[in-house]
Amino acid sequence: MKLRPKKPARENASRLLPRLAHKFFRAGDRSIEDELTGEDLHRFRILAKRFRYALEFFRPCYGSALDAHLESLRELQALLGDLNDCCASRGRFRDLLAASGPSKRHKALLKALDDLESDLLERYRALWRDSWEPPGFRQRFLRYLAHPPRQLSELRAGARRRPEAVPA
Amino acid sequence: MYEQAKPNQDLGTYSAGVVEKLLRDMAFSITKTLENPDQANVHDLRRLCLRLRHALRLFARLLPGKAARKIQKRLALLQDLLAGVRTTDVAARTLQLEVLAPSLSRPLSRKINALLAQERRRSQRPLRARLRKMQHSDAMGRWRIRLLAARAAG
Repeated sequence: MKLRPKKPARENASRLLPRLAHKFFRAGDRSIEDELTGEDLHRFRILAKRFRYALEFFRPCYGSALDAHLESLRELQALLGDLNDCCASRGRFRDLLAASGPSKRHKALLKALDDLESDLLERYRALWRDSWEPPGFRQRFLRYLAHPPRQLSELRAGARRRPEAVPA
Repeated sequence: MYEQAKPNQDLGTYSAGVVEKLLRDMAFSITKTLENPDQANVHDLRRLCLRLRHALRLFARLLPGKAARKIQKRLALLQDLLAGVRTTDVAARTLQLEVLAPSLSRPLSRKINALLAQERRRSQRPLRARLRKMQHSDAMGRWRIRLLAARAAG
């Protein structure tokens, strides 16, 4: 999407963020499919991170009401991060231990990481369904992003700028 | 985080404020990481690096020309170096998880930790060299000037 450098940041945010949110929801819905593993969620993790960064860049346009959504997104990302850490560490351990040959102890560790991955995946899917899937929530969120509320300071400044009534 | 930016500013000014704040934070974080390249400092610097890269990508139309592309390349390089260290930190932290304790004997834990520490030292060396170079040449200050020039030209 083309940004408009001469237009106010708020106007650009109201055009850009709903689009990014749509993309985030579409990818998120695909991310909870049963056959996907922790490694498959890597792309969605990156997309979610970029979405949060974009929200944070434009936070001054929305004010503190955006913080609840940011917090919810952070919670989701924390789980995605744990999943990624689990998968990356498993790969790392496998490489490090490969030199010393297979052993029961190594297998037990890798199996424990597989179990952890399954547990995290289940928790992630539940969180997505509870927090980000309800259609009512999505509509409200998209509407909110498309119509950034005026800040109190701006309303005050607007009131000060209002011309005096001319006496008849 | 970007509270100095005002919603009514034109996007050009607004994005310049966001990028400038990130550059300032990064300069501070580079100094901190050079003094003490522990887990937290490396992680913070990596996050800032990611944020700055994303800001430059998102506002690419407002910062045209070679400068932004060159900075993106430098940031990608730095991020790779930071990721090398971060990967070992993440693995070491995962090893401490309680859920893994029953399947992890003390000798095995010691062995993996030793290998990870060795790997961290190895990947820390090029990172420190890179950060030192960036600090000496005041890379953040130069990038700021280049981006300002790019914005004025655009």
